[in-house]
Amino acid sequence: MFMRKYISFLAIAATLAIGAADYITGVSITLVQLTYLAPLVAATWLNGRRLGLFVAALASACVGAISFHVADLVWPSAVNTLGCAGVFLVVVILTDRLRHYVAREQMQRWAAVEQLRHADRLNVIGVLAAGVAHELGTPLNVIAGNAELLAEDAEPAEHRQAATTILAQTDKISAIITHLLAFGRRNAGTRTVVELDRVARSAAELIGSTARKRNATIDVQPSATPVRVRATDAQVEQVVSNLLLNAIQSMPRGGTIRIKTGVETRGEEKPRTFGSITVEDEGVGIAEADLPRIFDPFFTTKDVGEGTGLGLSVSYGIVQDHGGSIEVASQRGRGSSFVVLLPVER
Amino acid sequence: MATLIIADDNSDMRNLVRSTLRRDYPDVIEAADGRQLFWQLLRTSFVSAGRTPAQLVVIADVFMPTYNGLDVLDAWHDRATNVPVIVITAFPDDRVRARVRKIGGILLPKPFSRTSLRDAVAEAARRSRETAS
Repeated sequence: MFMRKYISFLAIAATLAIGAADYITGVSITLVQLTYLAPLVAATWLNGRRLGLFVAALASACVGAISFHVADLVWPSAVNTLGCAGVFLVVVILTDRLRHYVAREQMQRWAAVEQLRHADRLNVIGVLAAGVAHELGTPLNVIAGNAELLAEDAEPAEHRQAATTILAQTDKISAIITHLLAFGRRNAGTRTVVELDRVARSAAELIGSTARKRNATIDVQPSATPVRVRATDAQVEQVVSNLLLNAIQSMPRGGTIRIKTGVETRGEEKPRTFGSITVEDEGVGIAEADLPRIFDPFFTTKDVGEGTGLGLSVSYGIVQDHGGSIEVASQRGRGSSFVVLLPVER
Repeated sequence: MATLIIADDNSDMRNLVRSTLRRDYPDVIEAADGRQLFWQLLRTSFVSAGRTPAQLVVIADVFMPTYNGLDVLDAWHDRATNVPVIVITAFPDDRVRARVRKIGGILLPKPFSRTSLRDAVAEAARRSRETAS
């Protein structure tokens, strides 16, 4: 804020200084009038159009006053002033346009770099995850198998109970490993033409009983015309059912989940068409601070044992492999909306 | 009674498989890496030249020291097509799946339960009996 005031002050002072110099030398020639452009451009570039226009008006006033004073001829002075004012105005507008253009380019580049960095991080984690999952598989199998053996015929009964507990815990670890492997595995399955409405319906059916247990209803709203994408059927279904599960878990008192399909366009310069599946809930929403991290592996806000923190990162990986993306909008206390975008099949 | 060959670089894993299948397969040969699996397969098929190969059951891990279990099974497959083979792996990707299918084996992803191991062995034995008859 201080900087902006400082720049405004400097630009106005510079304009007045040029005016004073013009008056003292008494030349009022084009060369001197062009120097007004320096504070004008600087002010517009740094502080925007409003200050630019103000400085332009000031510079025009200076030019006008001096040319009347020096030349004492009404018409030539008026023409000179108006001409200068016009030039100043055009320069302000052009500078402002350039400023906006550069700012937008820069923003896009930042967004792209950020996305790349995120993708890179996920990729590394994926490779790591596959390695870890692979190394853990055998020891876990040994633990589970021996626990199973003990659960069948250990004495006394408490020992059988303890072995059953070990077994139940290893099942949870197995579930995490399965997720990790899914995360590390790329290009799994063959891609076919998939109708999004069908995927939405079958995912809703799959999760239906879980939803009913938690007092949630899933409302499938198909699009008017069928939307087709090229994708691996099971993977898209996995993504959607995962979003549905998250939605259910975000509504402790139940509610309605709306799942819609449609076609969306993204990108300003090169617009691309995507098939979309939107999952909207009426849940607790996501805190703004958490939003940038929800796709990171092992990030979870759920209670211990409720979530592995891998569901969304696996989904993100799958959708990214398909050349699509997932968008999130959320309002604390109102609910969240996830949009899965997949390149449309023509 | 068929002989069981168990190949896995983890000895506890071999013990687990052995104890799970003890009732149906008391005769067990263990291999701790791909090389041992290769020699055991060669030895048993040589010794059992008079017997039908169906009297063997092979349970092998994929990623083992020296030779990869699948490579060994692949090489040996031409020799004995109807031996029940179960491939156990903690990393069942598509390539592994395809190769297991090609040698007519059953893929059992780790971690597996004792019941699913018994079921897989029974299924593999049933399949090889069908091919033999």
